[in-house]
Amino acid sequence: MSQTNAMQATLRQLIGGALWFHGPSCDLESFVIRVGEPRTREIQYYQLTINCAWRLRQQQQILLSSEDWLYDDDNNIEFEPSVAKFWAKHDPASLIIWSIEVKPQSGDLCFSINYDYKLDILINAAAGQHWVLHRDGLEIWRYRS
Amino acid sequence: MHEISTIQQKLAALLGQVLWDGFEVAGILCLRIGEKRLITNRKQQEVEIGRYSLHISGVWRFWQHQQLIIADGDWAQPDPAGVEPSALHRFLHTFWPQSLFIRSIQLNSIGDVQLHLSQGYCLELLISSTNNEYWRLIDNDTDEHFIVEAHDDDDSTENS
Repeated sequence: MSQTNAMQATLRQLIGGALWFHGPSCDLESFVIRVGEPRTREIQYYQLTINCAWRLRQQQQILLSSEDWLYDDDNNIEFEPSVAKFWAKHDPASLIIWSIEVKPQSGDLCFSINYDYKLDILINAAAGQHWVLHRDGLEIWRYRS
Repeated sequence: MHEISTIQQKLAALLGQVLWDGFEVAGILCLRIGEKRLITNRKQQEVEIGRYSLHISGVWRFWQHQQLIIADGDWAQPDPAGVEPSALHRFLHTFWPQSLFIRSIQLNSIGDVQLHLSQGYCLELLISSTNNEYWRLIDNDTDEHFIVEAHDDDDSTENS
């Protein structure tokens, strides 16, 4: 199985899950995805920690992005008001991920989410670690180039 | 943001021009494009500039033959040789001079731009922020700045 296929297979676990939370993770940003197993009702939490550019858009309109934060005087991450506004407007349980596309050339990811939202993870370095996915605290994928 | 057609129209000025220099200042990638001319800068030094300057503050990527060779995020990557502060600085120091023709320009509906260059290179400018400037195209003949930013519903063309 190629790396792209293996990555796609790993990411497929997130389909049907809800984009539950977005916030700082050390000096990076993370999305938490909550996936419920309908038969067993077991809940699993996935954490996608991002070390590259990303944007959440509704069609062409960018709603949130990796540049929506700054360091405050105490060197803590402070988000733009648009971030709180977005999360106040949405019940995270309704932000369901329908599909995840891996772009073969760039390695970019595109999550399709309810309300016609798209979360683009944009690889913006030729070398280094771009993102890491944990399931219930255990690392299951690390994307590097 | 500007209408895609407006951006397309402004960028069309770059078609057939040569991209010949690039450097980084305070996190902004500055590119020199088009016919060269000498000017005297604020330090009273004679410097060579192009007809156009493209200043990129947002996310960008530089490809060759569909292989990502450098991008804005590489400023944080240590240079493997350990000489320069980052892989990006090393690249910018060693890559130029070059003469890369701008062969074609593509925009998608989001406003991401691809400048297709000679030798299989492609420069991609990605819309990546809700509140910042992405890039600006400066016509050094007229001093017109065409600015593409998140909230530029008004006319964001200025003459300084």
